[in-house]
Amino acid sequence: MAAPMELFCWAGGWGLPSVDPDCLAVLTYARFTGAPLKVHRVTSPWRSPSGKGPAEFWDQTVAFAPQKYNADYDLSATQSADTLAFRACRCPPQIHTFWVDAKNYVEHTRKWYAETIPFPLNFFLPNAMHKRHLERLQLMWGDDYMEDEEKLEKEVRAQLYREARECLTLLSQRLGSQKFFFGDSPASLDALVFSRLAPLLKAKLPNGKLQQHLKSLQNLCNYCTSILSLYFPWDGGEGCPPPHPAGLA
Amino acid sequence: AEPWPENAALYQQLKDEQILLSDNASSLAVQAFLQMCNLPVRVICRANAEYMSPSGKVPFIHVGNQVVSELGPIVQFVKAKGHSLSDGLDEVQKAEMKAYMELVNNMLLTAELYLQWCDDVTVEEITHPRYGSPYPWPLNRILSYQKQWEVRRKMKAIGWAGKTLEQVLEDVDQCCHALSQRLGTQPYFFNKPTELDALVFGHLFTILTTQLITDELSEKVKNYSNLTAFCRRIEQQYFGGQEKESPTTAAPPAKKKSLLR
Repeated sequence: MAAPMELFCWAGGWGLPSVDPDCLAVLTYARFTGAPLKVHRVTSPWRSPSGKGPAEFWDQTVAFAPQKYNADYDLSATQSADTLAFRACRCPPQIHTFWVDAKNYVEHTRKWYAETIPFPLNFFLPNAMHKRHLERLQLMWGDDYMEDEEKLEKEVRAQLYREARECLTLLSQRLGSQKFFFGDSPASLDALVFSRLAPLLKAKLPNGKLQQHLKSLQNLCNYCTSILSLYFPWDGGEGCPPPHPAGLA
Repeated sequence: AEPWPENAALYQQLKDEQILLSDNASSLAVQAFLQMCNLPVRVICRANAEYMSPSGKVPFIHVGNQVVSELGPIVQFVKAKGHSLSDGLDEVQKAEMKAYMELVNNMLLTAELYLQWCDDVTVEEITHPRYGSPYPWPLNRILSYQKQWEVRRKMKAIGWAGKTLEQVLEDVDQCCHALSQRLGTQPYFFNKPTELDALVFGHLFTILTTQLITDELSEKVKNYSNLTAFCRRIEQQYFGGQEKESPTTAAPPAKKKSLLR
């Protein structure tokens, strides 16, 4: 590979190498495969040269990874099929927990972004992101979703949490007592699942209903901590980037 | 199990001139599911079915004094009545079944919506005339554009707005490939019929039998012989025979094409 890939991602925090799930997924995948990745930790979304989000980047990374860096190369056809199926279970409740739940957003998420983003952007960027996430949820969950706060508080929230809990339980059942989802070596699905679960496990959320449920699923907790300690041994500190941010290559 | 009332009804849009690909697929999936549970329903076509539904989506069933819409809630509702197809599965299989159902909803259903509301030729030739068919001008245009705007906003939210038709077809192919691998040579995804089989059948059968502007979408499915065989098998087993006597079951929306080719 000629030039190493470059990733512009959100800075780390909450004991994680990056606070943004999409960034974390790409980082984890790079660590799994040992692909050289030059990481730029940025503190505002406008610093990315292409303006592309990591989500699109993810599809490209995994789709075009050469054999050497492809974590899914050894999977059987059925396992690849399972990967695609489980990838489809993206949890909107996670967006809800971090960005829409009023208590969590004000006391946790907004606080972190407001402290990280440089002045004067920190006054309006977090709110803009909050609005974008809210709108996205609204569109994904139908029209009358969140039209009035009262309804949200009761019905929709109950439904969201129920589905989120179900989703976590599903993952826990699928994982069982294995080390990774497909046996002993990590695949792209592991990177994706880890990136969704780790923030939920690590963040100190004031409203931790979903977090409590995750913590009760012992195998998922062990799974997250073991990936963290195996693949990110230096990044555990409070948001300080490692001395050499390039991958393990 | 509680008794199932005889007058249970399933509502959807008018079959010949109105219903769209995605709604027909969802309706067929629910019909297949209820057939698999051996719960009879009468299919009733109403031009305003979308506005009658509590969630704004078709199909919905009217059982006793309750109204439930969409496959997921209907599965839950029927389960509460004591009928379930997935009880025999172990926990891992249940997890896998849910994951594949998400896959079908996220990829096949979204691709159908993309095709019928974001592909300009299809929108002009098929979607607008069919969607607005029960209403006089200018209401037909207004309602179509309103719906189109709503779907396109949703596409933007999930990141599909920037996709080309080729990319969407590629996604469909990927999804079919995964389903085909998972099915293998088994008669059903988990040896006996479950709600996943009903959902996959609803979508694939509708894609295979609906005449669109081009054949590109159905060609993608036809590449997988075990999936077409799967559709044929379920059609014969659960909808066989009735098709000719009562036009209320599983007749695809537009001009009909033979599934067996």
